[in-house]
Amino acid sequence: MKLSGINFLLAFLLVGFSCDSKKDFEGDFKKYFIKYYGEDGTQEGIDLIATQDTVWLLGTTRTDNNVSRIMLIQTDGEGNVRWEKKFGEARENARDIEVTPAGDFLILSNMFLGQDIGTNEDVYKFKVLRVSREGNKIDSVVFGDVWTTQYAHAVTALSDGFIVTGNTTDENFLTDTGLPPPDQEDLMAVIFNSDNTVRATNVSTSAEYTGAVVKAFKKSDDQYYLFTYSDRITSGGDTKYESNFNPFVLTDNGSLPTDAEAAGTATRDEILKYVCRMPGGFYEIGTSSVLPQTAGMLYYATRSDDLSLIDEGTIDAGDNLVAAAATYSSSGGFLVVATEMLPTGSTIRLVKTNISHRKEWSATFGSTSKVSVAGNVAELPDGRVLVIGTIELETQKKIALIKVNPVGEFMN
Amino acid sequence: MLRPKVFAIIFLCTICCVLVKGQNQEECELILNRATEEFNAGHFYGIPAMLNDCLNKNQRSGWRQRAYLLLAETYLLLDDPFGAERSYLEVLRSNPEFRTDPAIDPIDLVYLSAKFTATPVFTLHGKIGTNVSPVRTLHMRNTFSGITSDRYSLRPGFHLGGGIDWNYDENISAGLEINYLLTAYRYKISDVFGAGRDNLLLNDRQNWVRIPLVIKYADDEGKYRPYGYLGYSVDFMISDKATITFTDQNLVNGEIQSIDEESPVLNFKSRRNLVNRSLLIGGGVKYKLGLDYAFVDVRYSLGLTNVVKVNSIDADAANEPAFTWGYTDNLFRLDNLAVSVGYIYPLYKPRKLKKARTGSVFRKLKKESK
Repeated sequence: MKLSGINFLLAFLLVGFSCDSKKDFEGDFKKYFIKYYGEDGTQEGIDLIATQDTVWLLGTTRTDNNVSRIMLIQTDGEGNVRWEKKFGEARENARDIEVTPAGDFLILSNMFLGQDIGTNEDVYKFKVLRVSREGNKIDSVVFGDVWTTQYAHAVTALSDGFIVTGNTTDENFLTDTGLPPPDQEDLMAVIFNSDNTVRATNVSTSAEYTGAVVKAFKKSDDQYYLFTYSDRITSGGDTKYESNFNPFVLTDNGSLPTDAEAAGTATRDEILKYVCRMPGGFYEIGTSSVLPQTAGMLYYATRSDDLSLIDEGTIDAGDNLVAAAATYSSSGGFLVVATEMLPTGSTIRLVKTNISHRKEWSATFGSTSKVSVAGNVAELPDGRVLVIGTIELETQKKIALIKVNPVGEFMN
Repeated sequence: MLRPKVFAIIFLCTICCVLVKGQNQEECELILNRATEEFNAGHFYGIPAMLNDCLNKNQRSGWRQRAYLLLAETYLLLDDPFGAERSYLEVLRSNPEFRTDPAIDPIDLVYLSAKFTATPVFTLHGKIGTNVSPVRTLHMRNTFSGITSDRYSLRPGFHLGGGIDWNYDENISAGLEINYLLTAYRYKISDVFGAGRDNLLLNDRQNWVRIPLVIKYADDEGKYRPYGYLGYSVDFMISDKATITFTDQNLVNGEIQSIDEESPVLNFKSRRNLVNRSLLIGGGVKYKLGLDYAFVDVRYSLGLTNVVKVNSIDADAANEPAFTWGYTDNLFRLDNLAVSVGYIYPLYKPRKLKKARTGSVFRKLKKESK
């Protein structure tokens, strides 16, 4: 329809003289952002717990004289800090945060003790700190003997306690056979009661040069699944000391009655990094490389609720990645976050796969000339994606919280 | 050897031309004086013929004005209105700002003058000046968590441009301009990662082509002629370059240690909305210089549109400032305060009016007679 002169003039005046106001942009840009958190020194983003309008960020802060402490930050849905608290002694490294059935948080940290002169290895013990949702300390427990390493990877909350999993060099824990290559890291799981007393402990009885229990899940009242990687010789024709994903079942008294079919290749090291639930089973994500090269292809394995291997393989997202974490996506498939190693630094890579484990899209965060490290990923009920990590700005490393739309973009 | 001779000949020719012209002008001055005497003596018929030769020569505008004015009066007395009108039109061509004075000029000449105007239909102008660009924030988009403080500050810019005015009458005109502007501002975020700690300083510079349309009202009398206007402009951003300086301050061994890092020049054009709109308000004073004007102009442009693209974080960019420097733009509108000096060149157009303004002459005469 042809506009009359007056209509045209009115339309021009309406459009031409309209003024962009605050209301025109209300909320749009707040739905995605990047925010940095920190103080003096270096702060590393490790893990997060997110609801639609509240995010708890777990990090490590390293300040003057290399003092490192746990940092817990609560933000609103737009990334604005509500409160910020620090816990622990002088040399703590935050590792994991989990929600307890009571709604509190368990924070796992590794406490650096020093270097073993004999092996040049860093020596740690671990601590589990229970805090309220408002960040108030409830209690804590420290586990480990001086000069033996208990390096914890994850804590799993139980209705009557919690399990800490990782690896250990503590041969007094349970002496193994010391098969070549030299035994360095034995799989470790420690079950704690609600009062923080140790209920049971276990380490693998076969030698691992590299290996760790990455995550535990409760199977039944007296059994747990331990998701591990290990370079030990596994059942099913394995002949080489290279790492594979190798889950176990752990009983409440600490025994390991069964192990499940391993996932991984026969010639490369598949280092498990994270395990998450998926409908009807578990999703394991790790890195496939040839050690000592730590970067490689993303390697996944899916298992049913009884640990049967459903599928495994690589994700076509590049071959210089170090997996960090993953979560099941409500749109089908998985969100995987990894650190991409570059000639001049590293960036954070977020990859969305479909249910067939093919890449749907990926996004990169961080400067290509600086060192950025992936932490964890979460999907919000509205499909937006949160990523926590460490981003090195021009002069310093800070905790970074990134919120993007369901296709990894900073837009609606 | 040849070259000095050529210069000498050219010099002599020039001198001769000047002397001849000067002689001609002197002669024509005498003729005009004689014609005036004839007019005063009531001998009208010979005057056009007396002046004809000199009028065909290239005389000075002042002489031509007086001669054609004499001719116009003569033709009026000879009852030749067409000749009078032709002559008065030539008076205005000689001096577009000539006005009859009812107090001294004959009434029939004053009436004749009311049928004519030399008001310029179009006026050209050029200007140059300096500007500052206040930022009006729509939304903050700080990447730094915690309590920070931030402040925009003004940086001087530069502009030049030109335009054409269409004059509705002596007072009201509409103008269309094209201007080039270099604008700049500074933005500082303080207390990053703690009170008294890090600072981020952004220096941002934009190049614009601005096309304003204005409606002006101007005084039309006096040596100094104030004017004011309202307008609207469409602003096209050509480029936007920025540098970021980050000052990282940490407490080390009880003392604050500072590390300063400056970014290379960052191209922000892809982060900007390239077409923006503004409302203008301004004014100034025109100073009469012969038939032209010099002017001083002050203009405030009120930015109507958000200059920053809402989706301005480019995750795939190798040196995305949000990742390298922790900088992301606020959403804002950009105003501009400009002070200019310039020159106006009116394109005078002597012409006969379709409707003579004799009524106003009559009223003026009536008023004076009282």
